[in-house]
Amino acid sequence: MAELAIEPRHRSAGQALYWGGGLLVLSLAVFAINLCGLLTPPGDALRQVMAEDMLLPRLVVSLLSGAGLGLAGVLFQQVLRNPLAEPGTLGVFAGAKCAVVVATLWLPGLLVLGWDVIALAGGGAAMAIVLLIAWRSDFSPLSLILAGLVVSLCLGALGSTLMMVNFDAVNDLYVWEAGSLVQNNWQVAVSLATRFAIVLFLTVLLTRRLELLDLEDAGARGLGVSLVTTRLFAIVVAVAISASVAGFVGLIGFIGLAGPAIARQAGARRLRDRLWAGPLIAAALLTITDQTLFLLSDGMEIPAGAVCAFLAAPMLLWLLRSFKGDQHETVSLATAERSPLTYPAVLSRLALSFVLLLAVAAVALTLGRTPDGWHLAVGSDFTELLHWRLPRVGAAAAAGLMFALAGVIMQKLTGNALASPELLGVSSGAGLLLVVASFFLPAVDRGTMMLLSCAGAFTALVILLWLGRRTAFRSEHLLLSGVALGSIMAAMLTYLTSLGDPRILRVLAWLSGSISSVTLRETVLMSLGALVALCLVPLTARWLLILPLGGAVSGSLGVPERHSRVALLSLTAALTGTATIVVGPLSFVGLMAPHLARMSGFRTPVVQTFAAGILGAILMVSADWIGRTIAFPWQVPAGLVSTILGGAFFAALLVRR
Amino acid sequence: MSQGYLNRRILLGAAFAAPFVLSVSRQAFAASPTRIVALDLLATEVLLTLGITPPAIANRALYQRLVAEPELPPTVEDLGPLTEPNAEYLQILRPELIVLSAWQASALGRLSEIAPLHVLQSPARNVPAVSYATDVTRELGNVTGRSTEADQWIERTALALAEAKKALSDRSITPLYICRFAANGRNVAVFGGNGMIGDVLRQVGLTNAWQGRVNASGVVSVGIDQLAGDPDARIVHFDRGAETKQALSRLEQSPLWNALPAVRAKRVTAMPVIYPSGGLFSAARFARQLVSFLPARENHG
Repeated sequence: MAELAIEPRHRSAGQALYWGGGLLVLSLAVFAINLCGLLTPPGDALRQVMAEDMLLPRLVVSLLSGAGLGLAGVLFQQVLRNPLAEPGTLGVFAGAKCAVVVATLWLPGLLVLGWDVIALAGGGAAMAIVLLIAWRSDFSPLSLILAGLVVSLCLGALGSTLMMVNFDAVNDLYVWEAGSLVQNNWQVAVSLATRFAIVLFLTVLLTRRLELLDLEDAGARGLGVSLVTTRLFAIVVAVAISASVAGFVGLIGFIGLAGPAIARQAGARRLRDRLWAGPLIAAALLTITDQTLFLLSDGMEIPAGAVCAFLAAPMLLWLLRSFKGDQHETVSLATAERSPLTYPAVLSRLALSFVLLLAVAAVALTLGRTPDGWHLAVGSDFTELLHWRLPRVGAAAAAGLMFALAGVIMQKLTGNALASPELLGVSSGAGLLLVVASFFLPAVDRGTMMLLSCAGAFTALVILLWLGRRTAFRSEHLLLSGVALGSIMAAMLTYLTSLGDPRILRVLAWLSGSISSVTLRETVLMSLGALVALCLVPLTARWLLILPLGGAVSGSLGVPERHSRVALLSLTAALTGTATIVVGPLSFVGLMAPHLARMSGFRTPVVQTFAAGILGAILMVSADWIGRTIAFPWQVPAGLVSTILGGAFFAALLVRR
Repeated sequence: MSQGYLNRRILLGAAFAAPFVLSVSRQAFAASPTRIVALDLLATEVLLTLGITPPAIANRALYQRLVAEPELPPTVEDLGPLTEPNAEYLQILRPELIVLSAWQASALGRLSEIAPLHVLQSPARNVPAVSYATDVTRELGNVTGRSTEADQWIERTALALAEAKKALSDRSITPLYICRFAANGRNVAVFGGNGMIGDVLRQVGLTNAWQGRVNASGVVSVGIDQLAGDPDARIVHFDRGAETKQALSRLEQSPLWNALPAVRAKRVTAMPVIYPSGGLFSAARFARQLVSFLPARENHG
């Protein structure tokens, strides 16, 4: 069993107490400043009420939320043996968000149950899916994080699209999603305190059994501990408290990770120590953030949740530096590997997939919907509609091909089957720069956006390289850096959306992909670019074949490792940046296509690249076609359709393993 | 209103089969297009105000929820989301002009291949919302050959605002917080600045109690403690039905809410939702609502 663990520092738990205590004092100090500010001049009855029923419950709620999330984090981490587990990375928040959005839009009657109940149902369901996926690999840390990541991305994308389409019907949700701690009575504080007390009580009961989990499984079983029950029970407890916080307050990401992580670094190694130090530090961190925002914001409500995620994600990157992981752990997928094909078989199969691509494209070009129902465009209709359909089908194919190529290159580069521009946060990096550009720059054309997008992808890759250089670009690091980059983008977007600024519409338009507005000329240029990239790949065939074998081997075989990596990463950045403009940062095509290619028996790098490219194009064209026919006249962004399809596909692969 | 409704079949037929007819009709309408599609809420409001029924708009449901008036005839088709209206459908509908907002223009530029685009520029930072809405109305009036109607509406709105000002002037109305409560009873959106709500308040001679920062659309999210800044103020909030009911029932349990000077003195008014980024019609409607919902005599307590 592999375990990601932070290098032991030989410090006593007493140091964690200093840290926790110090941070708590700091948070109370900021609170005291706010309280003094509120109560001057003294003697005002209304200000008294504000102190008692606004500032004080706000302090209590932030302490309780932070402590609850910290506790959930410690429990998850202990049970799953994974120092990166927390409600956000395990998909609990994404599930809660999806459930609340669905309830608000279609089942408003359910809302009277309370948002916490709905959040619990959604978060619990998401967690169950994640566990189900990770089951087959014995909940190994990496597969669990991956499952959580994929489920989070899928459900998050689904929830965001539903919110985007119903932009104003869910106005309140934007504020909720951003995690605002504002209060005006004690109700939330009291309900949260009750839940927290119950959870704390259950945790105390569980502590002894949980400690046994530190032993190897066999040892614990020998002592008569039913591991499955203990684990399951602890997970239920952790989901319950994090969903309560999500329901009562909002989505507050990464605090559940930051608290326990700092506690560990400060020397709280034993579970007993982490159980108090983690929640304590998390509570203090959230309170410091919230009270500082209150102090600085001058009445304007700045949601602490989004700000916390924004601050904590870089911390995750920093923490990654000190991760010690199992060198050999990779997640293998159920790719039902066939034996490599013979040369004629490869050719005929490639031809077959190309014919399939043509067939799919033909359907996408001719079959569509009009207000009167399904409509097969022939003759003059066809030429009329071709005008609209050709550019988008072409752009979808080019984008799919580009993502697929980027996926193959990254998988070869890292020697890990899971690498893809989406999971490694390269497309998030591109998206991040798009967000900033469309928010702060005047409207620019697609060419400029494309350059910015490539620059963003390249920056993300450089950050990945810089972070990964110490560990020779090990997969876990790359993957987790991707999680962090993705969260920074998500937090930024959530924060901007919660402001209700009209410019956010422009951002959303870019991020959902601009496939409908691509002109024929741009499509031609993109297709040419895709073809050039396709032709470049054979030139790198040797690198792609040797790099997965690892640094030592490739060095001795005469592949200049650094140069080859840099060249391939630049190519990846260009591909990802361009494709992101068309279909948005999420699509999973970069993950799916290379696997489908492998599963079909295309194994050598060049052949796999070509096959993946064609399959990626097929996937994207299909996703675009489904997106524009499924809810006519409404159009679901192709990136979203393929995210959901890809997520399901990926989950199936992990489960079938 | 002289334009009849064409059903889809006829439109499809026209679209696919009769280039000759189309070229004739294009010429006939060249001077003043009547088949005008609106892809933004403000554009839709202004077109309907000018008496033009668009054959289709983007996001019908959103218009009905947010803007509501002028009423949208049932014949108007839905083109899908504001960010990505259905181009194929739009092509079938053969509009003569497409009106959209600046934020959409960069992504929807290609629609110019269907019909000329008219892009409504975003208001500059310091332009008050009513004068922006006036400009937009005049602009669209010119483009659609309905300058007379546009001028009438500009005049009518000015009149409505002046009448409201007069009606409110002898009521000694205290400063107002205009806001919208989130269903959780914790967050409040307060309107102010140069946004439509803030500007109309100014125009009808009322004082906006919210003098703090707002974003580009004239709104900011705060906690309810901010509604205590002006102890003499009245709280006016937009009633969104179920959400507002939920918010109020939660607020009633809040000691802070009950301690707010406005609440203690029962200076709380609910009124139907006004689209805070709307045009002249919304502005006039808001002014009229202020007259009819604000009390004849202010209770001080």
